[in-house]
Amino acid sequence: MPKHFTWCVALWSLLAVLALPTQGAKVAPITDLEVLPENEEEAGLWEVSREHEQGILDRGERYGNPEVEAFLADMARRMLGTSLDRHEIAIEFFIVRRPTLSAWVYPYGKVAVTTGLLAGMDNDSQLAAIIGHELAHFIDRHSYRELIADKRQSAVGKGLGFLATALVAKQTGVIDTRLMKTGQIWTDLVTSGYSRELEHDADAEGLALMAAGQYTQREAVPAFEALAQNDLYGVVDVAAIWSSHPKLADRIENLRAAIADSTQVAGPIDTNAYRRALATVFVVNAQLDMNEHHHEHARATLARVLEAAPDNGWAQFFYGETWRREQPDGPDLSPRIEAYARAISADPDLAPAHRELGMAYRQQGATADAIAAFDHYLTLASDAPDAGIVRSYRAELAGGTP
Amino acid sequence: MTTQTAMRVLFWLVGLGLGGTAIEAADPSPYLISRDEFRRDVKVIALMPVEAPAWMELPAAAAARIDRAIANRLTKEKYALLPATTYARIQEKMLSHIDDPTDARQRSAATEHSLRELLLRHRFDAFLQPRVVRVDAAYESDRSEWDGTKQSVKHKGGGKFSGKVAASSIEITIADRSQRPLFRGYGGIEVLMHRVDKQLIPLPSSDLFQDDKRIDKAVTIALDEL
Repeated sequence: MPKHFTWCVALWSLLAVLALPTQGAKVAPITDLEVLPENEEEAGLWEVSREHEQGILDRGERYGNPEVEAFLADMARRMLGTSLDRHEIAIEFFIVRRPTLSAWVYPYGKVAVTTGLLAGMDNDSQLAAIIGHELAHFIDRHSYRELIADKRQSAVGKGLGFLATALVAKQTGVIDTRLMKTGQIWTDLVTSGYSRELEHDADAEGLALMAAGQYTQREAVPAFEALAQNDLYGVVDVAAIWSSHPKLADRIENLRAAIADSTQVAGPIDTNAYRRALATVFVVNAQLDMNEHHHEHARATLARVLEAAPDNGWAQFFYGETWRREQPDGPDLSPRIEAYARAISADPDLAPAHRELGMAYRQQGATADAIAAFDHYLTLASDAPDAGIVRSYRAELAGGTP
Repeated sequence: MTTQTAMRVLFWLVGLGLGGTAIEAADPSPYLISRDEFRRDVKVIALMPVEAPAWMELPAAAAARIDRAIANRLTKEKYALLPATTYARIQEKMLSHIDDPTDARQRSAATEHSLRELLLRHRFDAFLQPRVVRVDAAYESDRSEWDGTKQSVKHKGGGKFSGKVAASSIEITIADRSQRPLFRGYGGIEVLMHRVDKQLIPLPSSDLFQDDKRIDKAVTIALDEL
């Protein structure tokens, strides 16, 4: 038998198995249960989930911001109303410091959202589309349903890491032997994202939750379209490889059709209010983008904050930093100098802006301006870790011994 | 719940089904931009001193050997070099301006300012940062293989064991002036453990980084595609 024939048969058999619907098992929604978790198996699922959550905390990836967490909790309450009150379940949120656009829900009702997702949305209705989708996964216990469905598929999954690797290689043009060796990719691919049916259910229920919370449903389309920004980070779309996972473009089309059928009267959209409420997250995420050398993307994020809040000193400062990090030599230093000056104008006590203004003037050879800026910095931050170094720059500029 | 099932569940949780967020493709090429682009843009390279975790106790002689091997290779490839001593002098000066060299925040500030001063004072196209790093090497029947090299694992006691063993590699990163990585190559140096019966035990630091040939070979492997 030719090798490629065997290969093709194995490949199509695998894809056929993965395309099996996962809804066979009957799992009641969380609102119908008296006791949670329902059984030992689901308790195990919760345990693994808690370990995963702890891993994020241990890696220091959590971005603690009580105000934004409260903003998100209000959003969930608005969509869910009193439906979970009987179970005394309070939906909680935690923010993960990652520039990719991502969100997931743990089976005990904790929703994780990345800073990239929060900064990638542009109004509260867009964010509600994603959060509503995750809440639907939670209410309908989709992870538990997948766990049950997985029992049927697990035997097929064993030892096929090499095949999955080949598929990814076809998609990316790169053979990742590291993944092939560990076989981990099999787990990653099969289990990344819920099955097509469950995702479509969550999309539909997410729209219903948006309506319940009086969020504008049509904003679900740009919200899901924004997820394509993940391309920037080299993230491979699993759905583009596995037939069992819905493609983003298909889901957007489905959403568009559902919204067209909706009778909702669209409410007002206040983009600036969203940007102001989440300004700190936008600024944090811009720094993450800068660390990954996505300076233009970082600037675009900061520019959105500054449109809504031109007096945000930190956003102005980091706007200048994107220029410095991207073009350390200039030659035109004016974009960063102007941004630092705007930062100081917005917040005269913003010490790093004074330091960077001084550094830029020093680079330009504008000695008097540099000395003045360093003096401001040293007045505001005399015990900063680099205060001694900045003093040496100042002394050098003033003609003293550095 | 079995471990396998637990792993699957874990990945459901991170997966979310929002249209991505699955895996990042690993690139076997050390080039992070095209080789042609690299060759076109990089002519002068600033060498940075070798970094290694303190617990490795990298001897000064081994660090100097790595520096020399890198410089020799780059010179052979016709790159102009800014020696590592240039940065070292700047860093020494910066450290002299901080109050407490044992304070991590102050040391970090000194490093940041040293890099910026190097950029301000010198013309070059890219930084080269060598690091000695710990890696997990594949280990089978007392032979290990990783990052382009192989080595027998010293052992006492019989039996054949397989798994992973701690080893050292040299990681060489070349980044442009905005610190965007352009090239990253690895070359295995040596295993850091030996086996006594069924246990892998760290080798004493006095036994490590003594083999000049292995150090030279690691640099050659890491820069093989340059």
